[in-house]
Amino acid sequence: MSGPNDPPSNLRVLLAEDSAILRDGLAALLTRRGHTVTAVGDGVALEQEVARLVREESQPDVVVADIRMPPTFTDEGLRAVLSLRSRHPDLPVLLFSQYVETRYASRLLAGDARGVGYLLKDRVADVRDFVDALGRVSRGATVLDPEVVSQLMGSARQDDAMERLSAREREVLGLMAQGRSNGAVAELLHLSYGAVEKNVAAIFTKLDLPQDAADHRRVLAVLRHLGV
Amino acid sequence: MTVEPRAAGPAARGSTARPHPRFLTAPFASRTWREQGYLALMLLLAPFAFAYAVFTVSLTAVVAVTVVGLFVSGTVLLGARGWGGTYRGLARNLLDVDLPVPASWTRPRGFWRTLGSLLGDATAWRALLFMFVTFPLTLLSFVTSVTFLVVGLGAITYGIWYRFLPPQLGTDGEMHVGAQFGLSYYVDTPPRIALAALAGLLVFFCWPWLLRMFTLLFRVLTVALLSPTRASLRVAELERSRTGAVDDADARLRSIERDLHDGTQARLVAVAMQLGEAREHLADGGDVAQAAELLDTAHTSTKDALTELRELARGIHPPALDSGLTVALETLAARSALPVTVDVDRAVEAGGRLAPALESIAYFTVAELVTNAAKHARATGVWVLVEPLDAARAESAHAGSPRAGSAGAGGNAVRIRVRDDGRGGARVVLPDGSGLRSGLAGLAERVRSVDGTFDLSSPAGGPTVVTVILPTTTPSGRA
Repeated sequence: MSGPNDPPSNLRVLLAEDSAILRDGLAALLTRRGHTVTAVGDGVALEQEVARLVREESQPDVVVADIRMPPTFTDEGLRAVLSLRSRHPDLPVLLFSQYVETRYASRLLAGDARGVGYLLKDRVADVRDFVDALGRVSRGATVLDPEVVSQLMGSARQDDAMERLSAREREVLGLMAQGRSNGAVAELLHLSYGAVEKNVAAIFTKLDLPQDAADHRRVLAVLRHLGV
Repeated sequence: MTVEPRAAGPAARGSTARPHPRFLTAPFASRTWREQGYLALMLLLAPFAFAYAVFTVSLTAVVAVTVVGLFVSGTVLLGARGWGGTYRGLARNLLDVDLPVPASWTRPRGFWRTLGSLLGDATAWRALLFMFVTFPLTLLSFVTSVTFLVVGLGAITYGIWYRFLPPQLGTDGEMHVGAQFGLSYYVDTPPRIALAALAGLLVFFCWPWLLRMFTLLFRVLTVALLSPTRASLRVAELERSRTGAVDDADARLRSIERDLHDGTQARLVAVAMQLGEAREHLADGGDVAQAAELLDTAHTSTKDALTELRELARGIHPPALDSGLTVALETLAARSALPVTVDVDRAVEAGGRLAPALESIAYFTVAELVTNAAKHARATGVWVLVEPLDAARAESAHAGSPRAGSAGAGGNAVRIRVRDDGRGGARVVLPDGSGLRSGLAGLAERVRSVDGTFDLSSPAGGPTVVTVILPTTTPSGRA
């Protein structure tokens, strides 16, 4: 049952999750959609598995990691992912957690934010959106949970540049932060595509972002927006 | 603030662990020589201690005119605590007087309070008083005891060394070699020498008792001036139990959070995932059989989540507790896999329900002990007895314990006895810093937080008996 809008099937997904129920459920869900899933239960195993896969020259297309895992149940997943990113900067990672911690998001986004995602576990309820987000991360997009975004926005209010944005522009920026394309933003805000483009251009100008690769500029805008 | 474990243990006030030596062996007993050693060391310390004490007092008198001066003398005064520690150590090692250590000085907030606490430090002032008083006492007792020892030994051996004394002319016109008493009494004949030896023996055997008398004074002074006061012990105990209560509450919240996070929350996410996928199958006109299977899994997961939530809620506050401790314990017994016999004396709740906090502690203590019996002790049965305990019996049941007064002070108590027929060998494992600790340590901590006592008897081979006494009238200052 793959439609034309579905993300590329047959991603090699490496999943790190300690809860057996979720791990098995997620693996089954992704497998049914034609992806190949390797699952591990903690941060150390995750790093070892990546090392093994890289040696075998079958680097995963995307890593999905729970943040809180054994042995200390604090931020093992995040630490494992950060250490992986320092060794393999182009390895797309999606953090997956029951809580939103802006501190975690800041640490995750402090480096190169391309191919990085941070979603609440609740998002798997909308299976299509979730799988879609996974596909976008694997292609190098930044995907942040709306919850993460609103929390980060709460902490990023003091920025002068942000003050110059209009309410609509902030709304657009919030959706960009979630990794939405202009088309998707237009659809969600019931605007015309052109109006969204205008808003995006205004955002770039107001935030003094240089005119080079447009995609990268989007990420920069989002990061500025998040105060990272 | 730190309180050494000794402060919590039964205070061995001036108790002597060693048997009393008999009269004939007393001069050779190690205890006697250790006491003499104590006096010798005290003599060594005495001049310095006395000088320190005089210095402290005169310094305070002189510099009291300035605030800075008061601070200096307060700090010097605090040094007396160090002296107190030294004296306690001497008494512990040589006199077998093992005293609890007073709570260490903690700096209060604020300048004036710090100053007040420095200058008003009772422990330091008492140590200073000890240093004053023992100075003359040390001199007197050391000189006297050594005189007795030397005279005794000298007289005993007089028959050997008297011949080396210089000859002298007596009033009887004869030359005498020997000690002279009075005008013409020379100890130089065999009967007189024997008499001297006899007198020496008497003095020698009296020496240990003289020594004992003096050291008794030191023991009394040490206990009176260097031990923590009752009030300070109580404060230390309260601070410890408060820390325990906070830690316990924190540990319980953590475990609830972890149960929620790893259990229920994860299960609900899985359910949402399964439902979401099923919905897509149905919306796309996809595989209905697959959707049905997903719905079935989600249904099962939901029921599991409900069960988990119910258990969790019961763990926070069992609904049966709303109807009183008796009902709650009977419900607990009925739910338990082990046969549990519960006997709650009617008098316990005759005068109305117990305080909610006490009911809750009593209930969870029993619940945890029953679980332990089933899980660790391999018991085949558990017997629970809850009965009232009037103040007098609470006192006598725990006489000798530093908390003897608190468990029954001004009111009644409830005694809970939980016995199983398992293999025993249970221990209270203190927390080792890893955040993990035995359930028993947590229980004991919780019981202590309401001034109760927790007593475990679990010889290898069983049976395990835990006796918990909870005061039913909460001491003032605690809600």
